[in-house]
Amino acid sequence: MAFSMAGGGPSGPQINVTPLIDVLLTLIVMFMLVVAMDSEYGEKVQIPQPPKDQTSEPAVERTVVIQVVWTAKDTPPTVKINQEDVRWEDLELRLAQIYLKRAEKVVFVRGDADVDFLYVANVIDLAHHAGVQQVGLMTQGQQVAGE
Amino acid sequence: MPNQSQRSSKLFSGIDATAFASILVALLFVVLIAEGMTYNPHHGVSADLPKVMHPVPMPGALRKDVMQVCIMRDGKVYFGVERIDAFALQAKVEDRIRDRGVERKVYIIVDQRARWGTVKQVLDAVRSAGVIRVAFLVDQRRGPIPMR
Repeated sequence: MAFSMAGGGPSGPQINVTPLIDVLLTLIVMFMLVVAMDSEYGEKVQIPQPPKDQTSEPAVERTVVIQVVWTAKDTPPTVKINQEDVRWEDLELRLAQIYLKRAEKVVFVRGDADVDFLYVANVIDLAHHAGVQQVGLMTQGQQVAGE
Repeated sequence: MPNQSQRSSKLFSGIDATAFASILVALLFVVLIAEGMTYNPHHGVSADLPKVMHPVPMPGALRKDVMQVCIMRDGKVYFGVERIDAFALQAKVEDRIRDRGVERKVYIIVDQRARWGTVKQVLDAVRSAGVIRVAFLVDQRRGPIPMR
């Protein structure tokens, strides 16, 4: 005997999944957009600790210090690499040349108190892009050995 | 005999707004969640971040439990949401890093026109607290360094 549900009586109720699919698709798209848009960017630096014993510091002649020197109000500061004036446009190239054959890719950055942070941030950024792996910020008029 | 127009009106179904309503509800939730996730440390006080060419992504900066310091253009310093003196920052950072789960790194948000002297004070306080790893949050720029 054949058992059939078809034909005869009224068809049973069915769940309409269309709204559910709409919601899921919307959620997926929105989460993808949120994840893609929501990102923070930054520049990593270190703050070197002062040496415990000043006399035991070995002299390192290859230390590179970038100075951001305040000039005048509403004027961009000048930049120096180990006391040598460098143009802003040449800074990255100059650093890349210095660190091309160096294994220790460390630079120190020092800025005058009146300099806007924008310029220091750009120095850090250019140094990283020139191949420097560690950027140390000098704060209290510290002197680096070999400077 | 029924009127022709009366008979056809019974066959018409209304527009099913369920799907549309569902999407609206879903959108509402997504916006609410996105709003909650959005980094907004100072409830309306925002710093104008410096724009640089080659920043690196820092997803860790979005975590709620990280140590964040914000330096405004006028020299005001915030630790998280709390206004603080730069010299009192050391004790706050020391207090936070006693928790074992806290990352020993300070994320600093500095307005691009803030004086480097103020930033140095904050860095000294952070270093005195025993933290040497710092990250400055920046925006990505496309173009040369703006020289005013």
